[in-house]
Amino acid sequence: MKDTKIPLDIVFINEDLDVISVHEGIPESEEFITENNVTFVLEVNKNSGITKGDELEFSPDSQVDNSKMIVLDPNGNPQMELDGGERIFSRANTKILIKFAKKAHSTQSDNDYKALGKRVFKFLQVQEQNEPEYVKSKN
Amino acid sequence: MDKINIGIASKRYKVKVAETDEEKEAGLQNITELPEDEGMLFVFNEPDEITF
Repeated sequence: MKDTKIPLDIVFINEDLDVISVHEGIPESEEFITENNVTFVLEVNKNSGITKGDELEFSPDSQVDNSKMIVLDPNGNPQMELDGGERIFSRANTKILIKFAKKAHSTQSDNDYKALGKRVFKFLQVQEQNEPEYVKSKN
Repeated sequence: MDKINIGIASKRYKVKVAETDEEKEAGLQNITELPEDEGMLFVFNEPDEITF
C-alpha cells in the first residue's frame, strides 16, 4: 500500500455483500492485491476480525441519503426518490391534467395546449401557496 | 465525501464513501491515525477485477 502510513485490513466484498477475502495492507508496501468480482472494498484498521464469508450491512439510518428527498407511504416506507424539481399532483388534479393533455394531443390546437399549460401553472401556483407539512420518518 | 454507517463481523463502522476516481485514488493515503470504528468504503459501479 503505497503512501499508506497505517496497517489496514483490506476487505474485498462482492455484489451480494459477502466478504470475498481480507488482506493485510502493509504500510508503504509496493505489493498489489487483486481480486475478481469486487463491488466494494472496505479499509479499516488491521485486526478487524473480519473474515471471508462475513456480510456487509448498511445500517438503515445510513441508507437514507440526506441529499435526496424520498416519497413515503402512509406507513413511512420509502416509495420513490426525488432528484429535485419534481412536482407531485393529487390524483384529482392529475386526472384533470390528463384530460387537457389528451384533448390537446388529439386536436393539436395551440389553444388546447395553452389551456393545458395554464392549468399546469394554476396547479403549481396553488402548490406554491401551500404551507409545507412535515411528518416523521419511520426510522 | 459522504459518511455512512455499516455493520460487519458484529462491529459497526462509520465509513467515508469513496465513489469518484479522485476519492478512490486518495483513499486513506497519508492518514496517520484511524479511529477504531472508522474506515473507508470504496464503491464500484459494476463487479470488477480490482487491484489495491
